[in-house]
Amino acid sequence: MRTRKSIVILAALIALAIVLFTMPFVLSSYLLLVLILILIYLLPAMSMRVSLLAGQTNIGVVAFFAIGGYASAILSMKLGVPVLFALLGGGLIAALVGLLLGSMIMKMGDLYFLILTWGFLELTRSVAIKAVPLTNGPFGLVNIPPISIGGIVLSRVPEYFFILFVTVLVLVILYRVEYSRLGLTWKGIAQAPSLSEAVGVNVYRFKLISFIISCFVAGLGGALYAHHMGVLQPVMFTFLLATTVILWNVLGGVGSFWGPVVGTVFLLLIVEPLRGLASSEMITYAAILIVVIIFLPGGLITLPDRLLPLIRRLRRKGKTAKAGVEGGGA
Amino acid sequence: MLLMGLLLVLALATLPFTSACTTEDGEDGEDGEGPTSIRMGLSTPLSGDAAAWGIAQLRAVEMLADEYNAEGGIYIEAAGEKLLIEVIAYDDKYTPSETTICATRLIEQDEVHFIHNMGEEMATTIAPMAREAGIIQWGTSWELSDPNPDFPLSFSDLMRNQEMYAALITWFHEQHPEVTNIGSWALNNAGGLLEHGIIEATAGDLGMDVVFWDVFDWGTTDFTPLILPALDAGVEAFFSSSAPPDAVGNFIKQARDLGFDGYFCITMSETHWIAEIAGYENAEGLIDIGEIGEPIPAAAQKYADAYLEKYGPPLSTMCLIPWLQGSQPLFQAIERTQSLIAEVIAEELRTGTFITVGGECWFGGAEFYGIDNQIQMPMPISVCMDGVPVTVDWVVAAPYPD
Amino acid sequence: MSGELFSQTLLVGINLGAFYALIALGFTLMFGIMGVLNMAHGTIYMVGAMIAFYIYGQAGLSFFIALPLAMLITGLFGVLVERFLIRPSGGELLQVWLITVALWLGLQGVAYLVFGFIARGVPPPVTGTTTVLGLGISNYRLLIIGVAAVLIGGVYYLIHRTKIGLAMRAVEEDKIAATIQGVNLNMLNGFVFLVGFALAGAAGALMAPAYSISPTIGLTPLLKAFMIVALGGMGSVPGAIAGGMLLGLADSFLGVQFGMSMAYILTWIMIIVILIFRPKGLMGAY
Repeated sequence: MRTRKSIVILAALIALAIVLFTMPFVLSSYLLLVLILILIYLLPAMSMRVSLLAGQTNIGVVAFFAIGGYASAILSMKLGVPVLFALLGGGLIAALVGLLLGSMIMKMGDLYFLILTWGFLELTRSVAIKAVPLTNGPFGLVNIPPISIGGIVLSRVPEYFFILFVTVLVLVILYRVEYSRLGLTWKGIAQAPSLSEAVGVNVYRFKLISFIISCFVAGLGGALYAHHMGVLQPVMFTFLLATTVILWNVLGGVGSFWGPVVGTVFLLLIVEPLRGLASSEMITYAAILIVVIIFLPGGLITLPDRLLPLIRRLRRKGKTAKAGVEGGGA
Repeated sequence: MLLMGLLLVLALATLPFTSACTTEDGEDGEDGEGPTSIRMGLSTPLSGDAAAWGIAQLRAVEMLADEYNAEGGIYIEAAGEKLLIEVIAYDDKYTPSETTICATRLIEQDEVHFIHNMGEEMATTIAPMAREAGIIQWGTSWELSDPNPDFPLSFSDLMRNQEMYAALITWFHEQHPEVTNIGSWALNNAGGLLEHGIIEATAGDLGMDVVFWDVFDWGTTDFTPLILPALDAGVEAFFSSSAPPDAVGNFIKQARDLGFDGYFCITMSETHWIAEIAGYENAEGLIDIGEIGEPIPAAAQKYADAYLEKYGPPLSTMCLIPWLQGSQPLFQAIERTQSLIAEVIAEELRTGTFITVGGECWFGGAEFYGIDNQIQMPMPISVCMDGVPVTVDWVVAAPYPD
Repeated sequence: MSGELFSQTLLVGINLGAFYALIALGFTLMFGIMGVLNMAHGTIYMVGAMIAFYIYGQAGLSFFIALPLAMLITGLFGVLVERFLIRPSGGELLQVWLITVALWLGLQGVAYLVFGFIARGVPPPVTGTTTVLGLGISNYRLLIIGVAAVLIGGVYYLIHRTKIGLAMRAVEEDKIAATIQGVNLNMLNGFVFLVGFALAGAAGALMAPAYSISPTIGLTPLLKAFMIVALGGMGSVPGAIAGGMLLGLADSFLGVQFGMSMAYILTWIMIIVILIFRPKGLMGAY
């Protein structure tokens, strides 16, 4: 039985798919670039969500973004690994490091977890700057090979489709995970940690799994970023970037899977018309943040839910008005 | 689910083939009518720690554009008339990822004829983009993205460490031969590290000893952990090339506070601001190469007035002199060639000489970089006296090492 | 390390420690009592410094008028923020966090417009040096330590010796029970914002003569505040002081010994190690 809501959602998804597929032929190169970056940034955004689901604020997402990027770049540049495998390698290495780090800090409360993952971010950046033979230090890695399949380098449009493919795949997988028993367990742990523990859930193990998945996705995103940009520099990976990733999640809405998607797309798109305004850019951006959060505390994703009662109320007013007219006219 | 997966894999497999078919995104180029304006694009930091340099660059270009536009613009043969200059600037916040977006937008959407940038990492990112688009890159950076025969359209509009820093150290040694212990402090980035290499090499040749050196990160305001061991090592003169003006001001103030009474030498900074931050007494004697001090040359005075009128006080001589000097050749080259074609302008830049507020300049450096894309000009040396930089000498770049 | 270098490093470390403790104070208070991670903390510091620039540097009024004025203005601003931004958003932690981020960016943008991008400076309010334990220390540095001590003492008095301080402690322990006991949460929240912002502004104004003043000076105090409250224990005032002193001494000694960028790495390692062994910080309440 198809409810009206699911038909609407299906239609919306089909429309979205059509839009996404035709974008590269319609958009200018510059806007396509912005779109590609949005797609890439969706990975760290979702990675942060995975962590948040289990009740952890993983500032280190940016660190694993960097690790994935550097790992993939180094694999393809210094070890000659084909880019496709290097991308995967970047994600896996990030996950591995995540496993090592996570097993050490998983027992901390969220606040200290936040601080420690931030510390890890700072250390990662410092290592990237100091480990010159490996990472080329502050000069960074340049001429990172672009994405290629079977030896053929993908030009901008096919590159877009590839990244779209990867992002959609990751989103689908994360969606299934979030609504699986694993995801439900995370939510339970986040909301009632002691209770979860009491009923026999191995909180430590579940949190660690969430962390590792989060690291993998962030690392994969970083790898895509590295091969897309062609350049990696330690200065890119800052506390401010981590704050921005959390911002995407909060503004989009932490209550829904689509929250970070909406938040990321919205915030990254909004910046473009503001570019060139210099200081007014920051003020406008801040004002938008405040307006959105005051009117939609649950995030942008709650907009339809907020609008629906309003629409219903308007329709009802219309109906009673009509009835009144008809009744009165009789 | 399986079907979806198969479809997706199939789609993926077709990507390499579509890559061969898809034509490269070319510029629209001008339609048959010809250019309608001269568009200068800037991808430069307008906020953040490097804003002092970025805004200086932007304002210098804007002032020059205003000057030419007041006369109706510059005559371009292909248009058959004078064209006005349009300045389009985007804040790249001194990060390469933002630079890519800004530069792409400038090149593809705004269709600029020239792209200016700031900073070495950013210059490296833009160089291939400019080359592909066939436009001139007017780059300001200290190292890393050296002029390079692979990028004939990328020019360096500032004297860089190789030219300036070595000259500064040499001049200082001539003035103060008794000083042997020097300390070097630099930003913890590509430019800073390369700067240190130059100071070591040059100082060593002159018989001076770098007894201390350290790097600091962007945003550092407290340098005392750096100054203390330097003083302990017996530093008599501090050298820095990459430090922004506020860092220099803080550094001087704190060093004097800790009892240092030796020399400070910097490159191309903003002595007025430094003196205010450090305190006039503390900044007395600060040596800066590349900053024209008082009295401002007559040629620069009109720009000083224009600056104050357009942007209000306080006056920034950093806007006024280094970036003005750097940008004037480009405008003059356009004027002389009456063309917007990059190769033509580039040839003029490499072969001609230009008059700037600081005197004559030309482009050279082929013996070191492989191509004559590095600006060469005599550099002023100013000393801070009572909070104001006073020009005491002019030097030419030290010869390039072998 | 020579004896003299050691003493100087120690002195610098104590100076930094006092500064850091003051920075961390407002931040930890807001977090401890309201659970608010004030991302705008550094920007308020910047505003305090700019107010000092205008009142003391430009208008020429005494520094000892500028400092309390800066506190007053930033404190009042805090009250307004709580009333007109925080409360309408519902006061949930995530929303509040986002608002403080927006404040951080927005105020910085305003600073660029109003103050400009050029870094300015103001001269120290007192000159001359005093000899302490055989070492010369500038009178201004002594002033910083003195004022910081007074402010810290004032906060301690506020929290432990006043009725409103009692209310703050009660809310920190158990918000619901405190409300039942008659604590007006709205007023208390407003008060916490007042004090938190005022302390940040005070730190900025106090340090204005020590460092340059520009729109970007807020980032480091924010990051230091985070590090200090992590070290000392989230929400603990003595922790902020202990953490501040420890970080100040660490920055000084590690910096002198290993260089500044290495010191940053080592400081983080130190924090991580401490947190692993004492997961609630040196004196943590959380």
